[in-house]
Amino acid sequence: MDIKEELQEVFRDVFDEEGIVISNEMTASDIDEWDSLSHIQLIVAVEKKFKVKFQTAEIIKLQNVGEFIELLQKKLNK
Amino acid sequence: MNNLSITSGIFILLLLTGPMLMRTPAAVRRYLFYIINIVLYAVYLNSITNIIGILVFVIPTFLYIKLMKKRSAPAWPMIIIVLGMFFYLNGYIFIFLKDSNLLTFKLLGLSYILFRQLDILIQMNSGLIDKIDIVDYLNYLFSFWTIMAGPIQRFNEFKESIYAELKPLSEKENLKCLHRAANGMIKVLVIGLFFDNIVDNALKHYPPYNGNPLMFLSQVKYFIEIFYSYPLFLYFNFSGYCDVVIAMGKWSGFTLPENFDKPYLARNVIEFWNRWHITLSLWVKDYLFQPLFKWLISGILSKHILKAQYLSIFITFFLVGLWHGATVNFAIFGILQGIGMAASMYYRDTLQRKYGKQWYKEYLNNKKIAFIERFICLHYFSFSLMFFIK
Repeated sequence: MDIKEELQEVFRDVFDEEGIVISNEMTASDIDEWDSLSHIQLIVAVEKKFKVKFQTAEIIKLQNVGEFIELLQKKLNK
Repeated sequence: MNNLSITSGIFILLLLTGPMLMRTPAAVRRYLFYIINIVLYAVYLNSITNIIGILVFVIPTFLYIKLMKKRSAPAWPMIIIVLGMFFYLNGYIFIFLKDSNLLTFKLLGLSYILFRQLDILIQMNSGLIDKIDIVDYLNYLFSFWTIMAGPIQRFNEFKESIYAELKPLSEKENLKCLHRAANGMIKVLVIGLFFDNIVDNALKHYPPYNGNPLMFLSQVKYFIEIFYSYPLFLYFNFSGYCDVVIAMGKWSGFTLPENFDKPYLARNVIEFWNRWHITLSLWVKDYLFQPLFKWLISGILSKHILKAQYLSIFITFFLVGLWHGATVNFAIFGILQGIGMAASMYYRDTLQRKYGKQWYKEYLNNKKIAFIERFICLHYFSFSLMFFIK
């Protein structure tokens, strides 16, 4: 499974919706439930699953799912 | 009135000459602003104590970020030091140490300067600011547009603003900016002052209660005057000031973030703070609420997401209250905001859980309920402001 698919699973878990399909251009406004609370829950779930850590400013800067995947990839390659 | 208030000649002069200042070559512009910002702030520092105070507050952070760049040191030690200095310089220490002989400081815009320093430190920590020299650093901290009361600009936004490639504004856009600024002036100097006078008068004549029922009635009358006039004064004063600064900035080519969006139409305290002093809410969301919530749900409250929400939002807005000033009243104001935020969240969550999301959507669309919620929210905030009056 590649990162995107694994991330998709985390999204489905956090937002409790099996039908979610993520894409690079997807932003918080595309999912009703995606507010600053679920955003952090999402980050924490990703941190746990991939064993990485995100910093405060990195979390704020994320604009869409594509950037999220890119950042995650960068952390995993380190 | 200090020399940077909206009615001060020098501030108006700067706002009016803004377009010229911004139309200098970028390399000159930064030094021009450097001189203006520092001289203007220095004029306000009317004692040696204050000069030392502000230098001690801002210079160590600059030295430290150099260290961060070179040795990739973490930001947190400096964040703690800056917060500690703020605790003292802004007078919080005197809540605990009454009648002490410690030096006191009177520094303009200190709480905003704190937020700007923290923004730089946190952004640096994630490598999101590539380089920063003393000119950009001090220009950002003491930016004359926002030194008094915001809007709170982030460092990266500030840099984009000050080094912006200017496009000429059309005549229509020019007029729109000046129109907004003039309206802002009217909000501050006419409407705001009108309500300020009512509050002042009511406070001056507020009678002591001596058991006389007529006195009680008179107290009620003055209380109602204060209760409804003070929130209006605060709104017109602050949002009018922001209108002037944002519009004059835009007219000059300097972009500033919006700070108000009809706050008294909010239906709950969460929505209220999304519409009132917006840049402050966004700042604390990014740098206080989210990190705190993340820390709680990654650790001690990982099984209690809802509790973590309520606790984080309460702490965040309690601190927002205290940030406004170092008195017990501001602490109470903060506690009320914190309770309001947590209660609004709890109410929303409970309704959704009990009756489902579809039902909640219909609930939100009900006009009568909207009216009732607005009424309650407005009165709750007005009540909390009774602790805000100096």
